[in-house]
Amino acid sequence: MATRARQSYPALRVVSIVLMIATWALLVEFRVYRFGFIPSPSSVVRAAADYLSQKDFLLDAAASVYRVLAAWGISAVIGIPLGLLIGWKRWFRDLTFPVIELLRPIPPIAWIPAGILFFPQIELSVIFICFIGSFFPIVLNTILGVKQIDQTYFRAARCLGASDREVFRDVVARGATPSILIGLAVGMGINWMALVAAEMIAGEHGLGYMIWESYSLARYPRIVVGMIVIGIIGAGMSAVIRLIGRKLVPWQKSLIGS
Amino acid sequence: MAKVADRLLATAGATPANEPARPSVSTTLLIAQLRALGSQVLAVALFVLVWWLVSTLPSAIHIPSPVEVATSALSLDFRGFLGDMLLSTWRVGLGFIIAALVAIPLGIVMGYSPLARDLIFPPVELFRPIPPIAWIPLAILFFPGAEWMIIFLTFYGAFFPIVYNTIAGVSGIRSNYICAAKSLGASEWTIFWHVVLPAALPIIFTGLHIAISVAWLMVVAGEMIANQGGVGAMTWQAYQTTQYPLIFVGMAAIGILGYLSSVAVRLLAGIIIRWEQ
Repeated sequence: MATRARQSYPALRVVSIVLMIATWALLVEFRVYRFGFIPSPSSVVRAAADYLSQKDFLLDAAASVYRVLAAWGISAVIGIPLGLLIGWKRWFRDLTFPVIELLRPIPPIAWIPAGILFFPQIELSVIFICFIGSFFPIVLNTILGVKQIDQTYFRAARCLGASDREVFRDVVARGATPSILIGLAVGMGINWMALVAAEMIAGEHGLGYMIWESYSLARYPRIVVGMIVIGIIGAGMSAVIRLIGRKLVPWQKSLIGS
Repeated sequence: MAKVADRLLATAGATPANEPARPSVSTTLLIAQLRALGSQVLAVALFVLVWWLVSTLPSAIHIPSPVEVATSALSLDFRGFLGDMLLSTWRVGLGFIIAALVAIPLGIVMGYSPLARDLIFPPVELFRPIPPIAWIPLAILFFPGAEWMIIFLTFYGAFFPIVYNTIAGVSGIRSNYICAAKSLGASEWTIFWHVVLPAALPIIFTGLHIAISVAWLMVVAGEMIANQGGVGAMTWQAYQTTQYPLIFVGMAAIGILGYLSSVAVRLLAGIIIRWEQ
């Protein structure tokens, strides 16, 4: 279909969104099945006006963004060098990769009780759980990035007298960058997921906690406000990563995607 | 190589007598596999050793040692544990299958027709940035029981990767293939069945592979919150009742089940898309 002119109906997209919101409003209004329990669009708008003007909103958002960024930064700082070494050095791979493979199938959410147990403060537990979420995609994509480097580059660098350090910097790290960026973007997505779960179950403050608190206090429209705010901030942060990625590896636009 | 050499020698009539047996291809392969296995065992043993050392450190927080975890696993009520594992697997499986049944046809339609895509896709795009876990409170409000709430969560988590990959698979097909089929007089249906679907299947399976792991993530979150059976609830209860070693048994069970189900998806892919291997 690449050459087939792709038609597009921009107006239809608007219609589609409007239809979705109208369906939601009608289902709630007429209490179809159990939709009577779900907050209506208008109540969500009112709750949004209320919540977004409060100081709580800024505190919750700041707490969540801080946790996500801290966890993401730590997993990048640990995961990228680890992944580069695993991809590059056979002995290191043999020593560490089986452990990563062993722990990888455990979803970050399953670490919540252990995370609470490991750390004296809830703050650190939440960051730890988010860290688990972004660590594996970052490490695995870094390894994949190194594996995908053409072997001739290594040989060429050696022939030209490059030292181990230079090979690492100019061949391994540079060659793996596009894949690392994918790992960073995927990691950010999983980070938000882990964050919401950790804040709901263990947290204090934060948008995930706000959603859960609104549920316990029966302020249901505010749940939807929280979901939308999380969605917007999460999408915004992913967009920033993609933008930075496109600046860093201009030679591989297609890899980072749109 | 050694085999070829042997055969050449045999046809030449010169049987190598009293020569030390060369390692055949299969033995060198076996040695390589044994070495890989050895390094894996070594790495895991090192990990357990480090874990054990950390657990003996005197610190404010007590981390259960590998021995404690193993003993608590052995002294477990095995029947109940198996029941929890089966319940979680059932919830993941049902949500996953419903998601596949809804998302694959939807993705095919959207990948095929720009009209359908512009009509259906915008809400999907709007929902995507919201982490599936953030739906838990609404799901509790909407569904009368914990069972359907959890199955909805696994369904919802699995839905997005399948839909996105199906669209990518169907719309990414090379137009040459379609043109070739058309010029050979294939009908729309034949094109779909013999060109589009086989080309899209590998990517659809990538989506299914991601989806099953998201479904496991969702089931754990849902079970921890609902606290009504399943491995997630078991792990959370272990924490609440301060049976800390049991937490790690639960995590291990979740990891093993997650791993086995992704192996199952890969096996299914191997059967259905034989030509890819």
